[in-house]
Amino acid sequence: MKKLEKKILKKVYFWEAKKTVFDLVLKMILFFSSGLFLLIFGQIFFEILNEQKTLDLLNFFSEDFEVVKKYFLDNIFIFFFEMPKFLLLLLLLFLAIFSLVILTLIKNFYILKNKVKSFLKFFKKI
Amino acid sequence: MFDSEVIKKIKNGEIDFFEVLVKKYSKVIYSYLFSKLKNKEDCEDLTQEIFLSFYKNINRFDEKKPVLPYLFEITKNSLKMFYRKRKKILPLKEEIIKEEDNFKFFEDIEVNSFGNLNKLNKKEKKIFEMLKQGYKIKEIAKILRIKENTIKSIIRRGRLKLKIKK
Repeated sequence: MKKLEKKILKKVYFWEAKKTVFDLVLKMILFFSSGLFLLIFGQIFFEILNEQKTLDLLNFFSEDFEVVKKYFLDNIFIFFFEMPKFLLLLLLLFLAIFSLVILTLIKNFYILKNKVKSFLKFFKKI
Repeated sequence: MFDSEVIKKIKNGEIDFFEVLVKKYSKVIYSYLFSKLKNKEDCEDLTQEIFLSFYKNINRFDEKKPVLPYLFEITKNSLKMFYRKRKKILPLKEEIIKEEDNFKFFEDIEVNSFGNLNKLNKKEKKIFEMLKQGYKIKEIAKILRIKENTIKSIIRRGRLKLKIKK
């Protein structure tokens, strides 16, 4: 019976180890690729905004409060109108993936830590 | 330690606690399987699969519920699958495959090879006599109002009784 118990545990541990490694690798790939794309598209996005001098519109906030109040909506509208929409969409998408991966990693950190501890204990035994 | 606590810990990533469940229930499951299968290897394999399947679904398992009925539910399903699988891999005799491939095979039994038809029961005898007279399976099926496949099975059985090889 002891032999059977060992076999069951071995099977479970190997399955879990495989799954954990696969999950981790997938999350790492998603994390790094979305991070990289976020960086690249972010840079392009801000370069375009710089070239168009769209960012200068933000200086408007240093104006008098009354002026800001009066032209706030107009400025915001122009700001969004001048933005490269597709690039913005891509940026938001990668930002969502990036934050989702980070959130799941943070949420499952203790579970992952415990699993790794258990793996080490078990694989040292065999 | 209660099962619910053990399961909570396993859900929390402490897989080593699964050992507690394995030690507690593997014997029961194995004994039950052995009472059904009477084969050590099959029982061991199935027990492993059952516990692995339980582990795979442990995150969905409500820890407030008892473990053993759930394990037995998996066991029942695994047994069903096992029987189905075993049915599938039953080795087919080459001659049976040939029979399925060649419809004529049933009708091409040489008249001399019929031997003593008294070894056959009434129904088999009738079919063999009709074959002897040159009837085709389709015709026999029509006359006797029996499905063609049933006639094929009867012929196969009859051939075994008469020890006709082809």
